[in-house]
Amino acid sequence: MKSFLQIQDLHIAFQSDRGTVAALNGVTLDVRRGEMFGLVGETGCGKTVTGLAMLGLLPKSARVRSGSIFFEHTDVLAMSAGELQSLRGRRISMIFQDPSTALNPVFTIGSQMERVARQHLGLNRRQARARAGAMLEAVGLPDVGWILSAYPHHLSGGMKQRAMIAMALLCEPALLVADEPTTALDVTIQAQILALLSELRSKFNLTVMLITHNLGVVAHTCDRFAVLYAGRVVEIGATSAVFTVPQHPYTRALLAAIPTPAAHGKALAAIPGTVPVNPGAVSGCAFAPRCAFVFDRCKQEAPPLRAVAANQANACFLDEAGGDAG
Amino acid sequence: MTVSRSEAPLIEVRSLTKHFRLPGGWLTGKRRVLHAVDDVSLQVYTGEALGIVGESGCGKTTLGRLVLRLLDPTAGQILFDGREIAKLKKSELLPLRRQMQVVFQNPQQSLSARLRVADIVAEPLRTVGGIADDQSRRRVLGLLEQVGLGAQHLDRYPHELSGGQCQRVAIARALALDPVLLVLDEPTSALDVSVQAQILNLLVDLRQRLGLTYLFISHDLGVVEHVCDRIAVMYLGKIVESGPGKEIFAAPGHPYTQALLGAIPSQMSRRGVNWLCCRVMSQVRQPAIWLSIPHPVPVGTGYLPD
Repeated sequence: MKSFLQIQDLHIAFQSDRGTVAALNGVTLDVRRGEMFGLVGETGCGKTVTGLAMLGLLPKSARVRSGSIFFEHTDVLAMSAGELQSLRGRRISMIFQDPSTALNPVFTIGSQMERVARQHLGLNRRQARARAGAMLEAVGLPDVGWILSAYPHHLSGGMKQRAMIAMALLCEPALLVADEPTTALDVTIQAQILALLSELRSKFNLTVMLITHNLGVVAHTCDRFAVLYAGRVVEIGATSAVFTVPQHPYTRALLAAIPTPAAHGKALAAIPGTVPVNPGAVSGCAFAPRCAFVFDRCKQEAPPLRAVAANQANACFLDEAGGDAG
Repeated sequence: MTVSRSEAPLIEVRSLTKHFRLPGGWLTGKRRVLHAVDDVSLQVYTGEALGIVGESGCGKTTLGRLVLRLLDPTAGQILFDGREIAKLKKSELLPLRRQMQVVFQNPQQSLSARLRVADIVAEPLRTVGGIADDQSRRRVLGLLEQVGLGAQHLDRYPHELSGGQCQRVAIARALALDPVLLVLDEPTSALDVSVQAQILNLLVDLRQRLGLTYLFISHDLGVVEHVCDRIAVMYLGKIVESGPGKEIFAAPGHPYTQALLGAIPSQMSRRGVNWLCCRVMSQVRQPAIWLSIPHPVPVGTGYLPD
């Protein structure tokens, strides 16, 4: 029995002028129906690539080397272009970081939304407009009539992101992939958008995959989450479990690097070094060069993801060796 | 961290105002005016770090640029080291420029893509400092070492560096002329958390070592609190609250500060368990603090906080 969404050992590489860059090096995760799932990591860890792969939206330079993405028992990677077309929007939708570049500046919000509704749902123009209006209302926008006839530049950042979410939910998809939906927004607006997402989740029986670099966002909104580093899942589990006892040294380091009032005047625990440029070329654990607890084995083989508790798995040799990372 | 306050502030801003004229208004005959900075007064003492927080559009960047005199104020006074600089001409400002430097948000944009690191850092030395090329190389190396870079970075271009390394170069460039004041405009907003921590540590360290004064502009209350002695919260062009970070965190007075504070993730100790959470998020959901569209254009007599 496969779960709602299951990604198994996904390897994706990009061809560039300078050779092949491995973006994903064995991503394995599962998302359960109805949950808010977080995908966390720093720039270049492969979180967006994972999201794009789920929708069959990878750029041409990307090559899936191995692995599978089972969504509702079907392998997305084996789908034809036509099958993908009916999957996107209908079953899986995606919203992006910057709503001002994701919306088309030369069409009104109404006409962009109508097009989606007519294409996917086969509605006529009037029905499509009514549906767009209803959805804009559902995401909490005031004065829907005006917004339908407004161009993206008439709206504020928060309103644009709400409109994006409304557009993504037009066909009531089962899964919404939200790629850094609040990164371009101010913190108070961020709070509103996140609250809206959890509200819509129960209203539309939606599963949300929230891609973010912000652990605070994850802590507050997600049921489960995975930490990605250099194209691999290093830790995955229930939010409460992982935040209570973070297992992987990288997760611990990330949490320690956030400035908090308690740390005032003290040096922050920065992670030395930088993310590997081409993690595929690294043998062993990709985090080893920056890890405070590294030992010989880490440099030779990559640790597999192993369950450490009922609702938590970790990819590190430390707990296997019985050592204490902290 | 204790700050020895000298008698007179290094920077004093009195009733500083900056209005921008907006395009349009030709149908109604009314020119709309954006009050970016509205009657702001503040002091920064030598060796102190003052944080300016607020959301996008609140005027914090404009305030920073006014203090640097990169913009001309509409009204008000700016005193730098006791001297009024609000109305100085460009040529009169030039000698002051070496005392006040700036680091911007996006280092990939603020560094020239066509120059090597060595030339980027040497440029202020050459143009303002009047230091010969053969001497500048050694000085540049010293500056790079100060920010945690080395000789191996001298001949690289910005695109060959990571975001954190670029920001270190931008800081080295800002330090080249031994300034007394650094205006840091969102210096870590474009960086990942782990790299942000490195840069914040560097900034705290540099300030202690070189006795610098910071005007630290950010939207992130947590970051500002970590680096600064005092915090001023801006909203719609005005400073709505200011004081030591500890006091503001303990008892935010203004509703806007409360909303801002509630919306940042914070690490709380709950029965010995570290929890990261957005504390007052549920409050922000309530329409009472529906701050979606701050409107810096006055409507009638008051403001429209929507």
